[in-house]
Amino acid sequence: MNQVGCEIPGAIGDVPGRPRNTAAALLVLGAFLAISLATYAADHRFIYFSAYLWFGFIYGMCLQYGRFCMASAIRDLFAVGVPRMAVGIMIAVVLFSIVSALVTATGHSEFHPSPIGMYSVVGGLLFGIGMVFTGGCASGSLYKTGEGSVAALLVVLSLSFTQVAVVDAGGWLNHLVPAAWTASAAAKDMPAVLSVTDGWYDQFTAGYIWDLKATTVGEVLGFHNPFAAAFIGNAFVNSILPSLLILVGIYAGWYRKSYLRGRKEPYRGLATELGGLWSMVTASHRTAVAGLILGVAAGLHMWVSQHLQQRLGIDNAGELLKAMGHRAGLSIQDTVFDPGYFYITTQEAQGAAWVLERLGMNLRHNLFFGLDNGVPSPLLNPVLWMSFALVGGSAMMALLNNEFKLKFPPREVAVWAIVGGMLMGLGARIGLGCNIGAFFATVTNGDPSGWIFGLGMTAGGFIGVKFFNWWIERQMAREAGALDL
Amino acid sequence: MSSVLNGLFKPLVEGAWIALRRRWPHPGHAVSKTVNLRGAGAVEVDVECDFTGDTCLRTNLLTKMILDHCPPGSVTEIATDNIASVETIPFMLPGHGCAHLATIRTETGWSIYVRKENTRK
Repeated sequence: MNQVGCEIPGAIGDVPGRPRNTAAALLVLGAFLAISLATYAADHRFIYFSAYLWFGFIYGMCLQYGRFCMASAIRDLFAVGVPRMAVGIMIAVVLFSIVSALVTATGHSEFHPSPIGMYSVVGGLLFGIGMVFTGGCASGSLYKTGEGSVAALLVVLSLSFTQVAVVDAGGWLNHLVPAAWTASAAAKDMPAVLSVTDGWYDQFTAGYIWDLKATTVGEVLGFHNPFAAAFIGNAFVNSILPSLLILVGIYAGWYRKSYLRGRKEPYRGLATELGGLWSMVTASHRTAVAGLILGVAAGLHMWVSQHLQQRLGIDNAGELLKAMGHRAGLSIQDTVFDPGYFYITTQEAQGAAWVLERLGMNLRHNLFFGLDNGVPSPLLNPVLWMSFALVGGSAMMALLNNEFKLKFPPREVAVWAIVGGMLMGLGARIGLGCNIGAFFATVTNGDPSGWIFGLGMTAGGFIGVKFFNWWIERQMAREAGALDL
Repeated sequence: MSSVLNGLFKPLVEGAWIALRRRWPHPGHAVSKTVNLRGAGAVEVDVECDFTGDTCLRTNLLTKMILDHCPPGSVTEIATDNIASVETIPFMLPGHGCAHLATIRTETGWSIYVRKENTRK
């Protein structure tokens, strides 16, 4: 047997005789470098696109290095009692919130809070169930695609096309829309080309979401000083304090018992408990380091995007595309989706919409694509550059560590990937984002709606784990006796 | 769009249900073989589980179920190509009365060796 033993739990050895894929990893890096340099040479304004690209690359490297996945965080906690991923995510939330506070306080933030409402719970719930079925959240599925997982690619495709179906579905679904939403949407006086009262998602958006209030904790607490609002309200009250409470809850519920049982020293009260908490935080070096870098990079991304917008004299990438003569994919406001920070799902939906438009569908009459986001070509979609680069960064990291493997899923896994991806797509559109856009980027910028989505996502994850557990036990019971121990 | 959805929805759901109703192949079976593990020496393996190609949740859940059914003292070899599971499984072992012996890189993925201890969780 080929083997490289490793005494450290979770440590990984190389396959004997197999060289590291450094050349292939450098090829991936070189390809993205070539794209950056060639587009910059063609037009210096493509530097704005390259900013997305390189932050995407860094996200991909971090996610793959730390196996960073919110599906894993929730399901490992509920299914097998392992808290390391949930801990890593809380570390990333704390770090991202501090960097975000600095960016916000100095006036470089592009962040806009989401409206606060029960839609976040519903969206989060569906997304949470879906991500447990698929085995990966939106960002997790992208980085796993970079590792060569075809199942993860199926998840990405499924959630992308489902989003298009969700935002464009009308017909009999119009009858399910509350009359108040229809009336409210009609009263918004939108351009006729958008047919705002036809299509349930348009009426949900214009008739319900737009009537809700969006705010940050810094605003709610009434701070006039931008530093106080950003650091005390947004970072400390909305991000750090809840994260610390969650960490203490995880410690008490999942870690403390085994930590105290494994200790040889006498119990010394608070000192022992704090030691246990620290032991939990540092239990997985990879996850903690990835969380740290991810948090800082996500904050810096906001600063760089805003800085480039100022330098280029724009508010939205659509202005750049228009100036370069690429008008085909713009919305009726000459804009495209351009959040200026780490975000997933909307750009994937745009990619799917672009494909469907090539097949003859008209998707510009709905609010989602028609009013703001547009349907730019994937080659001219700055945020989709980030997603492609995230896959590339993950692939490079996986190649460097000999962890890249092209894996085709068994049929059952493929079905779970597609069904779960559909739930994730539906949840992402109802919740106005995924585990990144509706949770990670929001809670770290003082937006309390992120915690509401997180609550729904956790509940959905719990339901998904219970269902999957029941499903597997049922399968095992059918084959009772096959495992003769 | 609605007609497209209606046309796709029914066969998709039917196909998904047929695929999901198929039995998962049982991943675990009893064996008798010896492996040499660095730090643990020659170890008799009693149970082999092959989760190659599986998702992390199914790998982790089935590992948990199989380990809960293993007798004290038995050694289980868990084969997987899912990196997330490779890193999660050693962390979940103490909670299930098991000790991690080694994780070995193989041509197809990783093999994790686990001994069920006498103490129950």
